[in-house]
Amino acid sequence: MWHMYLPIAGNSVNIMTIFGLGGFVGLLSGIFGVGGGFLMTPLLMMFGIPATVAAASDSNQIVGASTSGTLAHMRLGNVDVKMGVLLLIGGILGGTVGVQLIKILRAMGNADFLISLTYVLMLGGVGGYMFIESLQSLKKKPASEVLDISAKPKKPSSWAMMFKKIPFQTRFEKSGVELSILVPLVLGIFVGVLAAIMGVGGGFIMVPVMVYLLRMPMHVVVGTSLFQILFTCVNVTIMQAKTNHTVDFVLAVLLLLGSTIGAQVGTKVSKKLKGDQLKILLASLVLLVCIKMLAGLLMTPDFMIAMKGGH
Amino acid sequence: MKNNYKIYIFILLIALWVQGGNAKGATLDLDLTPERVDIGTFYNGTTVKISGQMPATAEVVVRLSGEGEELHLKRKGKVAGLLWMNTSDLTFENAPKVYMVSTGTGLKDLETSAASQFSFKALKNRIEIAPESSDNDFLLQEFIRLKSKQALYSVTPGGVSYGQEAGGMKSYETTMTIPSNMKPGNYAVDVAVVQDGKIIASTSKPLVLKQVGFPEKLSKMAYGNGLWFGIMSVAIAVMAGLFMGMVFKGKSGAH
Repeated sequence: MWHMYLPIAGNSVNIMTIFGLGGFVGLLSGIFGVGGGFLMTPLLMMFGIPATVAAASDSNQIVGASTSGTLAHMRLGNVDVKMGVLLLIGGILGGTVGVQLIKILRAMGNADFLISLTYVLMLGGVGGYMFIESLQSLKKKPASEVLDISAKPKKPSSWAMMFKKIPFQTRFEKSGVELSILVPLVLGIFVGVLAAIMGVGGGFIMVPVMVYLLRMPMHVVVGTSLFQILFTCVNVTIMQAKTNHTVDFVLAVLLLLGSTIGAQVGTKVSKKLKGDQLKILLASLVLLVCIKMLAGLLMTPDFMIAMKGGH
Repeated sequence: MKNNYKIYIFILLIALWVQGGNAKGATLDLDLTPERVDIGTFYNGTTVKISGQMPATAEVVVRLSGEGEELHLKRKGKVAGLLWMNTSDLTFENAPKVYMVSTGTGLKDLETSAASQFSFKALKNRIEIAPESSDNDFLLQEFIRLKSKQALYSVTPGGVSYGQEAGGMKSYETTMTIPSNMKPGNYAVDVAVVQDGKIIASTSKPLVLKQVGFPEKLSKMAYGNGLWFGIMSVAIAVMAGLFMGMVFKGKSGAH
């Protein structure tokens, strides 16, 4: 009862468990504009799904959740299509470079070490910065500018100065910023490379990049991020199904049922929260994952060998 | 003349078949129910019953095992004396997909018995680990632990129960659990009886696990035409997303 057999994963799962997992990750996706791959894959592995199948089926599920989420955010006017398309192009270019980079690293040996290190540093750095920054701006109202100085106020201005000098300046209406089209393109490449190395969609890097480097308002960031994730995951799902046969359709549909509902609820929750509250929540989440990874690296593992595949 | 020749062959075959049947059947027989496990949409693992007749004074060992496969694993080690990482590649060759052993109540110490070839220890001769290293024993032990955690390897001493003795024979019976993560394919159930420090009889039956119905169709599609399968998966995901979007829009409009 309540179990369903997953033909590609080669295991059976409890329907309600997977439905719940989908709902939880869909909720996060709707609130923060992240795909949630960095959470879903390890969770699915805990329930006996092989890592490769978990990652591929999750990207299939993200397609559904981000369609649902993008639609909801589009109605609220939160999607900067122009910015999203530029980031997407950059992301795809970066992803291609990243995949080649991984190949070279693997040939040189110890790629896993670099991947784990990238994970911990990125998660720790991004999460830590976001957490401190949003905590300070939340406190800013009662306190004064003293705190603001410690939040490196020079950085944005020097960024802005530099950005102004780059050619191909254009206006991004929805985001309310003026930038060279090269900036989102290059940042997209950067995130794409990282995402390929880490084997994730990269939403949790893209969101901080848009907030801090592109200076976009948080709500537009969430909508635009979802828009971009949608297309990235369409690409990943088809590629995985074609070359590795790792997309488990049954698993993806079960996850979808939960995640599309979660994404809609998440979008509503997102609208109710302030930008800084959103940031601090996402930062906490990213830091938690970072701590979990670090603990995994520092603690003696249960098994001295592991099946190959996955992240 | 030609017909006679055929009849001789026929008689010879019958004789061989009876002979072969006798050699095993007289002292040991094996019933396996079911002999085929169908993996359908709501499959969540199952059990198979292994039973039969055997000499009353002997002990029995039952093994369910799968074909050998080549597995690629990672070895973990400490990097910079601090971080646990996957440090090197390992290949396990001819590792049985499944290895479940159950013994009669009087055969608790399988490794030192005459049926030691059914124990985990025997896997040492069966599985080849590459690259060659001095602690292969340790690696094999870890491998068995890993497989045991997935419920694919097990040794259950005393897991087979005996029935009443009659005419120098007794019945034996055990139930083996087929976990849901056991892959479709061909498996073998081997039964051996031990007496006076040696195996006096053995027999075997195949067990087949097969995907049927919906899982079978999906597998065929996923492996047969991956590109189409991927596009279909994406299309359904997008439609589900759009549908949910519309459902929720309707709701919020009513507010």
